[in-house]
Formats: sequence, C-alpha cells, structure tokens
Amino acid sequence: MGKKRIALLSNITADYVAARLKSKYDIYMPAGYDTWIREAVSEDSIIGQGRFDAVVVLLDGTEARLWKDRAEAESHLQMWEQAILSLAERIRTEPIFIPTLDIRENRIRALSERFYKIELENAWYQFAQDLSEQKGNVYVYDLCSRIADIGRDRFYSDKMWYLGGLPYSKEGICLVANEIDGILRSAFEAGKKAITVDLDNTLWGGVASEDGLEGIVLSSHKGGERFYDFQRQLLEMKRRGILLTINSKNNEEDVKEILEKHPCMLLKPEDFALEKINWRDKAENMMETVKELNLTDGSFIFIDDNPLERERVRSGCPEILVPDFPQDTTELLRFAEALFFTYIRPLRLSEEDLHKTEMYRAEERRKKDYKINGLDLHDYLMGLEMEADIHRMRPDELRRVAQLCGKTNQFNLTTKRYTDAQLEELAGRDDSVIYTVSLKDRYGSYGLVSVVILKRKEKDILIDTFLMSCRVMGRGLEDTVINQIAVSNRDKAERLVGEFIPTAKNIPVKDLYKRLGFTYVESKGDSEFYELQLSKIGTVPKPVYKEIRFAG
Amino acid sequence: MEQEFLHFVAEIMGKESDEISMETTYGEEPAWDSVVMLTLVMELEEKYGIAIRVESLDKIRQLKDLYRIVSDSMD
Repeated sequence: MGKKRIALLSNITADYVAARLKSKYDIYMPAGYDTWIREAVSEDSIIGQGRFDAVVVLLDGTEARLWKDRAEAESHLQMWEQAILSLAERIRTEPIFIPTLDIRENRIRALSERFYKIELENAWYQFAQDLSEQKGNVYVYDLCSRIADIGRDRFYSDKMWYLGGLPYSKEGICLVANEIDGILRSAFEAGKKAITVDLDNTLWGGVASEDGLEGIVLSSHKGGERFYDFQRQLLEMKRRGILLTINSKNNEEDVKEILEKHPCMLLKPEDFALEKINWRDKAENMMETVKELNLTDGSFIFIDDNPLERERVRSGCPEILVPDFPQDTTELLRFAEALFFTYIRPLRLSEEDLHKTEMYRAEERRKKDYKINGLDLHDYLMGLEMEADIHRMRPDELRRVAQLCGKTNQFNLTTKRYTDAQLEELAGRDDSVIYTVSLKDRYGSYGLVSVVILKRKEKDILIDTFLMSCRVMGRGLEDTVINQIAVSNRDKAERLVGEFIPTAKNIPVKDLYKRLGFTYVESKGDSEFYELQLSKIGTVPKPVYKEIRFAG
Repeated sequence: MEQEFLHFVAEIMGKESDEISMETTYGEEPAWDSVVMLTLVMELEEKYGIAIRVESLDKIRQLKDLYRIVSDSMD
C-alpha cells in the first residue's frame, strides 16, 4: 500500500512538522504563509477536490498576543470556526482532525483584569466537540494537554517564532509531529484487540501462593494504589472493546480467591474474556488463547513482569507485542496509557465495542455446553434458539455498518470499504438498499453481525456487498439471509446476481454462491458473477432458527 | 571540529559531506534555504549546547561564518 495522503492546514509555518512526518505520509500543505483558511473555504482548492485520506488542522494560539481585546479575539476564532465548518461541509468521508487551542494571550495585566484565555479555549473546544458529535468524520485531538504535559517553556521558542514564523522549539516540533502521527495511526492502522496479563507482581504486588489474599500489595490508597490504578486503566480499555485475558503460572484456587474476594480488585472474573491459570509454558497458553478467541497473534499485547516469560512469549509467538515491563511500578499507570495511545486508541467506539467481553464470554459458554452435551451440529444449532433480525439499515446503525465494511476481511464477498458518508448516500438512493442482520441466541446477543447491500441493475438485483462477522460463521446465517432476500424479491426482479472479488483473505467464501445454489455466469476484471433465477426459488426451507424477522 | 561541523550540516541539508565546504554560500546553495537555516540554528544550539544570537544570523554569508558563530559561542 502506498503512503496515505494527508493535507496539513495550519496558521503557522508547519514545514518543520511536515518534515518529520514525510517518511511515513505523503503530506500536502498549501503554499504560502497562513493560506489555510482560503484552502479550507475555497470551492476550487486542492483539498476540496477530495483526494486526501485525511485532513489535519494544526492551529496555534501564539498570534493571540496581537489581539487587542476580546472582540478581536472572538472575530478571529469565528473566522477559524467558519473555515472548519466549510471544510467539514465539503469533506464528508475522510477524517478531519481539529486541535484544542492553547491561546497565548498577552499577560501584561493586573491581577484584577479579566483574562480571556480559558473562556476562549473552552468555547473553541465546545465548537469542535459539537461538530465532532454531528459529523461522523470530524475528530478533536487534545494538543493543548500535550503542550501542558511538557510545559510551555519547553514547548515554545520565541527565537523560532521571530526567525521563522514557527512558535515551537525543536522539542515542540517533535511533540506535534508525534501527536499527529498518533491520530493518523488511530485512523489508518489496525489497533490491538486484546491484552493478556500475568497476575503476580503485575496486577498486584507479591505472589498469590505465598502472600495470599491478605498479604498481596493492592489497595485504593498509597503504595498499593499503583496496582489499583493499573487495573483501572485496563478496565477502561476493556470498556472500550479491548479483551482482557489472564496467562499466569499459579494454582487456580489461590488466584480465584483473590479475584473474587479482594476488596480492591477492580478487575472482576467477568471482566476477562478467558483465563489460562496453570503451570504450562506461557507461549503455549498464548497460542491457545489466540485460537480460542478466534483472533490473530498480531492483535495481542502480552504484559508480564518476568523477563524470562516475556522472552519465552516473544520467541514462541513473535507476532504478539510484548512490551518491557516498567522497572519502577509507580510508572504502571503511564505505561498503560502509553500502550493505549500507541497501539490501541480507536477513532470512535461502536455499540459492539461496549459489550465485547460479554459476547466472547457467551461464546465460551456455548462451546463448553456443545462439548459437554456431545450434540451433533444440527441439534446444537437448534438448541441455541437463534433469532435473526433482518431489516433496512437504521440511521443509528450507520457507524457499525461502516465499521464492519472497514474491517471485515474473511467473510466479505467484495471487500468494498464503504465509509459513513458513502453508506448514507447509498441508503438514500432508490436503486439501492442496505440490509443489516442482527443475531441473538439464548446465551446472549451478537448484535449487528452482517451487512448486505443490494443494487438494482435493470431486471437484476446485484449483491454489491455481503459480509458477515467471523464470530457467527457456521450458523447457517448466510443461507437464511440470502434466502429471505431472494424470496422477498421474487416478484420484483428476474435474477439475483452475486459478485465475488477474491482477496488474500476471503478464501473461505470463494465458493459461497455456488453452495447457495447460484450458477457461475462470467468474470469481469477481478470480479466473478453468479446468478440465481428468482422464479425458481421455492419456499424457505426449515432453518435451524427459532425465529426470523424480515422487514424488507 | 571543522570536519564534524561540516558533516553535521551536510546531514541536515541532505547532502554528502564532500558536496559542501566552508565556502558554501547562503542563497547560492539550493539546499540551504531559510527553512534549513532555522533548522541549522535549532540543531546546532542543541548539539553544542549554545545559544545563537539572532543579530549574528544577519551576517552569515557562508558556512564559515556560521562556524565562527558556533565556535565563538563555545568559548
């Protein structure tokens, strides 16, 4: 894949920042000083033509020194707001990033005089955050807090300002470049999905089998609070869709007592998607964990205080990220934060992210019951009491649909990466329709797991997109969905046409249309086409579903 | 010290050490523009732990002038 094309719009000379990003990204900046507003508002600007993968706005508050009173400050900020509104009006799909502001108001004031800095910064933040909540592709990044982290004295350099129109010190330039790289990684790189933790001296201080429930170091104040805080950071990540699992060499009873009874264990047994508490090799435990959760090695982070165990997992599972554990455990909170910013932070959360652990735990229970009862597949599926709900996409499902379009690789017949705005457009057209499929069974809800996009082509209906979350593969859902769609269109079209575009990852569905009774028609470019004569469609065969709701 | 200085400056300009010399002239060498000048000031200040006075920058015609400013600041 080529470099991502990024437009960088700034009210300062941002060449120095761009220089630090150009090895990784293809950076475009409008020529000339302070041309960003024209670029943002002008109809025929390069940005307006929309050939960028993202737009980063970098605004600096140093020029506030020139603003003589509040009225002037407000008129400047209004102009900036207008520019950003106009930008967001024209760029509806690719992400736009807006910074928080550090307003460098003149400080020659008596103590009693009113400072506007904080009020203006707040107003700006509200504007930006409101816009982000209205538009699916606008995001706020908190540059102001990053500046505060290292301090203005180190971040800014008056010398650079007077010499080159650049207010940042060298350190400041690095910080801004890193921050921008961070938000672009959130946008374009697949984040880690799971964190596996050791227990002794990792989630608490001390050793469970020696120190016991009373003896381990873990409290909500003073010394033991460093582990408490670390747990809270992990819990916050879990609430954002990260799966937590345990990989610990211990006796299960010793550990369970602590997990269930210690008053300061923030992480409860149900917060973990699965546990491996045994005396086996940790790399083997990891391989099993990855397999059982149906993820890949590359989506895991493994955290362990013991360097030998880290080395073991690094060599046994080279794709798993194994960060060094902080020597000084008071750094655990920042350690977790850094992992999150560098490897995890998503642009936005979906409804599914909020319940991910619960979904995986339900899946574990399904599998366990299946094994214990020794049922054959049909009886097992019948016993699940599955209910499928197929309906036209509702507005509140748009984000989840965009997310599935963006990340589903295996069960994805055409791998078309539609964005929020493109989906909105498709949903509004007369000649196309987006169906979503939600699934639940007696163990719990899977949420929205499948998307079908149909396009009318004269007397045919083309299945432009058919994708399904790999978590529900093997439940006959694809048969049910296509059957419902075929039956409901029997009187409206002659053929249902399935398209398949092969990729390196969608091999599992290579023969799907044949299996569903379609016949191969032709290949065009990368696409293969299959047809189903709708007049020949019979009644829906008795499926393994307890209930199927279809709202065409 | 002179060699080290030239080597360092060449790297910032994106050139080989033997492509520049103390006689390389600001405004004539395309790799030495105002952006590079500012980068040089930042990097040299950090490398040698010095502060370069803004006034002295006006007098820079060739790399040897910049070198003199750096070595004078270190005394």
